[in-house]
Amino acid sequence: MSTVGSQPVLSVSDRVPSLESLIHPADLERCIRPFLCEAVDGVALFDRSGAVFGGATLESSPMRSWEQLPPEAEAVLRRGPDGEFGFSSHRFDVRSAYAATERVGLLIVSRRHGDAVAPRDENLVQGISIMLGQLLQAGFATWVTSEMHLATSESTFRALSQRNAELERAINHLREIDDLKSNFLATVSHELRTPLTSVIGFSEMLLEGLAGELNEEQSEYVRTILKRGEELLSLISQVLEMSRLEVGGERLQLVPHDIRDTVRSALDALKLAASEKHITVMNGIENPPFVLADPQKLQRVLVNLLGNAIKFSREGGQVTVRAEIAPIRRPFREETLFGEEADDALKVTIEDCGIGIPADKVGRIFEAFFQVDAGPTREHGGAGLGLSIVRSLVQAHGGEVWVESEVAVGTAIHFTLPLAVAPMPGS
Amino acid sequence: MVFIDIQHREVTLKLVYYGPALSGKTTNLQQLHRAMGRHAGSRLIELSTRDDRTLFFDLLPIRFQTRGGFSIKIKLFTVPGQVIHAATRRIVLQGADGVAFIADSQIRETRSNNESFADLRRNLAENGMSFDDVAIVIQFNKRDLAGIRSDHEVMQIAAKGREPVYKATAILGDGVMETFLGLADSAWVRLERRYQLREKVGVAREEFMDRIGAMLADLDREGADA
Repeated sequence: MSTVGSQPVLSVSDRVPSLESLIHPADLERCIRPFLCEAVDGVALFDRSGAVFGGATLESSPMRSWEQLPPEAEAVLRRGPDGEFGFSSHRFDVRSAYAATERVGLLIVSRRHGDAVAPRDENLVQGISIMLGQLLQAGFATWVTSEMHLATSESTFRALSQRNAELERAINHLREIDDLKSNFLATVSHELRTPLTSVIGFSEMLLEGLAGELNEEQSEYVRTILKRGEELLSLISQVLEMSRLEVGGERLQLVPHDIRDTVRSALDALKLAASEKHITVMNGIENPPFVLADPQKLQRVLVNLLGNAIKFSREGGQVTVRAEIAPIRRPFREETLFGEEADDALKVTIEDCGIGIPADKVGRIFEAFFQVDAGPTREHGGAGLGLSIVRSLVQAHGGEVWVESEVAVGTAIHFTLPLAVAPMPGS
Repeated sequence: MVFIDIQHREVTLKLVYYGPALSGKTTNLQQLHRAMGRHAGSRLIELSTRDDRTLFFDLLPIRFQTRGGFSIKIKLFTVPGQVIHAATRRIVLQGADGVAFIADSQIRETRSNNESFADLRRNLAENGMSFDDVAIVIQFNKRDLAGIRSDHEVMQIAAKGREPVYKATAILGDGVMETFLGLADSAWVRLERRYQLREKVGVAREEFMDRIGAMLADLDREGADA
């Protein structure tokens, strides 16, 4: 703490509260004004820089014009501690104003210099000084509390900033790892496919008898090798496709497209699987508007979805595919204040009457490698990538895919594609 | 939550601009800031440094004195609209006295508006509040664009809800003041009813609105010149 004696009195230390933070000038005036009278015609509070902070004066008081103070008055002010000076018909009492132990300003009381100084006036000056001390003390308590709050907030802010920086670093690290994973998958899948083509190619050659006739048992074995090899190839292709979609390396060739063409060829590709399980596939699509899509990718979407519907349907069941104009986003039923969404997309629905998906797993079926039945005794094979690929492809088209399902009743998967010609607003 | 400091004769209100991403919340604040720039104590603190998008929040503090010597502080906040910043939105919304919901008038943004409005309701609930506890006004922004909800449709929407609805083109400054004044008024009326501000701090609604109106008068003149 600075010592008052040797240094300029009105020194500034950052631990000392400013008068502004202790008391409001309006409050100061309100409290002082009742003391003004014939004898005491002005009271002023100076801050530590020597500027008038506030106070109250009568019209006649010389305190209205401080700039006209004589030099000896300024000397007393600069000297600081309690004292008094006088000029013309007035005496000025100078008192230090304290908040706790800190000197925060100077109180100057202007008294009319009559024939004699009445003791009552002395008491009045004392009274004003004490009252001001009380006011400042109350302000000081508040100031200390708010300083403590500030300090706490600051340290919390610092801690949070630090945590934010840490989080940022962690996120960047995770991003790098994620990219690395995708690149790794792409490389590995490619390396796995190369030897597999040999396995498949040579087993085909064996079956065709290029290396001599095979007996019944040998043919059976080679057929198994071929079938398993093809399954493995399709799995690896899926993984490869997935990782390509994840790193954003897949380019779409968007053209105006009649979805009936792709639905027809997807159904052709799945004819065998459907007939093996005696499943009727109903194609309910009539005169759909053209969509903006990549026909090849759209076919992948349809084959995956229809394939799933057939795979999870009961023997002799039914699968339906239909299409209608709808908003491109899945229905949002929570809030409708801002009106209905415009129908700017074709919604394709593929419905089966299969085993359904339990409610707690519906939200997860589009995750990569997720299987509704992941138990060791599961009936249906697959890597759990089909729907994940579907979602990536539909999203790449700007559409959305979602599912509605009820256990033992069936599942409906909807996806949307943007229309090739945007509908007229309001139509 | 309004903060009334009797000792320092100060009332602090918190008003939040809410809405979907890129609906113009920050633009609203920038326009208000332009109008109040020359008044002491109003500095727009923008933390929207990355890609011109609000990442954390913007804060515009406004301060003025009433005739009775009370100082009124209004802190205007915006929230980041993007879905992923849900936590920030919830925190910024804490203790709000009023919310201006800035909706995008474009028909294709209907979904974002609905989602954001539902998000507002959820976040208020998580802060222990409901639509009944805060003053809410709705602004249909971007009236200058094509493919927007017609005036008739906006009227129909306004008739559906209880909240006052304003039309605006914030980028040109149109409707920004009306929205802000409407929001300040609704918030004050609500606080007056709840905390008897007229009795406690001696500031009436008319004076509060007069003072704000005086601060904004400058912009109106500028607008008339342009």
